[in-house]
Amino acid sequence: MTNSRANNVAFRSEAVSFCGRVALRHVETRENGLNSSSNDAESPSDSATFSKTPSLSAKVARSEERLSIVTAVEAETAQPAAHDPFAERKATILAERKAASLVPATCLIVGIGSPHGDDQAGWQAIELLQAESWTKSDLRKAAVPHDLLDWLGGITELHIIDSCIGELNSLGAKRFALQKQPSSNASQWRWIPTEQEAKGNVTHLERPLNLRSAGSHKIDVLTVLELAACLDRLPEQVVLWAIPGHRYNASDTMSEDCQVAIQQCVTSIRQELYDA
Amino acid sequence: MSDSQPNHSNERTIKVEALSRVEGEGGLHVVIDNGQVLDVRLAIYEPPRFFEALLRGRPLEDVPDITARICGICPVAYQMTCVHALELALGVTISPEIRKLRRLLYCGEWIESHGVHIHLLHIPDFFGCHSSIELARRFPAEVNRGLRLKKIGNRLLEVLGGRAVHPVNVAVGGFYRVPKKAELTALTGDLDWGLDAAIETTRWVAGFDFPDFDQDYEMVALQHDTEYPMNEGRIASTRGLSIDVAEFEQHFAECQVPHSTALQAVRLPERTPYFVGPLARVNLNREQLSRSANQLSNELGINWPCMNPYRSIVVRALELVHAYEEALAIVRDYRPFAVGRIPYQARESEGMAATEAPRGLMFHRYRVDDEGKVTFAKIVPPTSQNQRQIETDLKALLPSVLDQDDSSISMSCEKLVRSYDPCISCSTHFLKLRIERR
Repeated sequence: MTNSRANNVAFRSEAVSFCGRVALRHVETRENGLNSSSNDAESPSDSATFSKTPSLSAKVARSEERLSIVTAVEAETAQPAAHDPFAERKATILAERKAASLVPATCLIVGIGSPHGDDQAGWQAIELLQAESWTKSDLRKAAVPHDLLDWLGGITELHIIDSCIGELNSLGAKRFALQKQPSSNASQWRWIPTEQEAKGNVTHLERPLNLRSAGSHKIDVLTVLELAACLDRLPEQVVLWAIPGHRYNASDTMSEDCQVAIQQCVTSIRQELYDA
Repeated sequence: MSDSQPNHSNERTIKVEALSRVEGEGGLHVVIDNGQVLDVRLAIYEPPRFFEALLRGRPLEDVPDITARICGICPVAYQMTCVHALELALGVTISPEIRKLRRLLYCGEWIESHGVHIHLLHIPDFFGCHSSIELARRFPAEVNRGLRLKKIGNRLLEVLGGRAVHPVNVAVGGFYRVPKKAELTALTGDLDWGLDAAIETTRWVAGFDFPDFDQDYEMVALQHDTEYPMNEGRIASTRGLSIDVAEFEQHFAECQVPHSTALQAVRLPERTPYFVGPLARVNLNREQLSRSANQLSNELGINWPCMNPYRSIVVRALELVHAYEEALAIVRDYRPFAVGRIPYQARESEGMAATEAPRGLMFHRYRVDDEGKVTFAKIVPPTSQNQRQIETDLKALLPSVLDQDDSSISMSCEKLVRSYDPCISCSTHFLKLRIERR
């Protein structure tokens, strides 16, 4: 969209310059368009109005004025003016949109969460990853696990970051890899903790964790992944980063343990996807 | 997942540990004595969220963002209702352009919410599937279609709301940022596809087998003379009620019940239950549906007004058609405009509003002081308004299924509750079924 917008501005600029030398091309305005400082003027209409009347210079001046308004508004959108009280909000919106519309990579990292207490873990991890310069993967936040299904097209590697409650509370962030058993169907997926893999003592867990994301319509992360498998959408590699938590009420702040675990998680993801 | 306690009398107790495919945690306790249903209690045991208290002392500009966090599935409904209430308090009149964009945003939420409920939560009931996974194995094309329908709704929310997770672009007075024409026209292809897909979905679900369960409901929804209601209208009912939104609390009341942390709502003065949701909306506004949706509603062979809650799935599909058709019209007609947000001055005042969330009528009332701080907030979500009616429905259903085993009874109850598409988390300012057989 950025290129399209830049092209429109360039086109209108060239058009006005050309018309100013030879003739006038009437820049068509919409009802609430350029004269009202619209933030998205349409490209010039194909109906050109040529005039060599004494008012030509005035018309050219008006067109240039309109173009300058358009340019100024678009510049404002790109770099909010200091006096704009909503500048920060607009910048946030644009940054979120930009992050969401990254050119799809083959690796997708999703943080699942909510605004409440330790359930923010997935979202906060995504924010920390977004701030890291190495991150080229697609990064997204999800409020509900089933939104994952929207984003799996073309993805070969999926990392999910989610808060969890259960026996991991004292162990910090843990990584689980979804592994398909030989000659199995989707109903026989197993989660294998990698630490025990390294020790050669694999523990197979049917449903290893009480994932915090299990609240919404009971379509939890594991159900979503099973559904994705049924629909042939499941990426080849799926990794779950489980961040232990214990505070989940609406007014709760995030616990210190959870904050530490989030940092561990981000470091581990960096090591896995960038340093390796 | 049912459980039955041994008894030494004619009482029966049936427990279902968790009501699946609904939002939030809830329980249902049924007491049956000698084959008679004595008591049905819908017990919500999620901790109350205290949002109404959280809002006190906050700047009114924070209200849309805070209320959006009440629900991860329907944040727009909370945002729309609160901004309309606060704008009434402040004397703000939004422009027609802002009004249209808000309807477009609501279309996105209806599409997303109905898409999820229809395909992942409700359709499995009609094929004996215990989960959406089983359904996906039997009908992969239809589930994929449903997920794409839902995805387009999310995309609309992203474009207009600023992001998909708890939209940040809704403001008192309008929007922080007005979308560019290109951003909306980029959705035209998907919306075109979605309209056709929604029509196919409606025809498919209309052919399901529906239990006979017509009840004498009082259905309540917004009613509007010229459009299918979303953000504006009078509050009307199928029993002739027609009131201004400001009179809501004179005709409806929230009440506490000992077995639930969620408030229930009743009609005044009789303290009777009432029904909100898509079925109420369509029954009261069918002629205002979009052209395709209205035409479909005539083709489906349904006797209107429809009083069978199981057919809510058809009505949600009709609203999918409507939302797609209206979204297409707004997007095609869209012209960017300069003033995205109407300015206002803080003043000590009070305002209320009602809008139509995906699950039904939502009501908010706020008081603000002359510094623009919230001094009072009241939020009445649709699911809390339906709870009493759900209990009443279950009392009506149970006699017909008592001869079944506990597991089957539990499943029948769950299916009925699911037809309401309850969002139990919202209703706790929300299944575990326990049937006690005596």
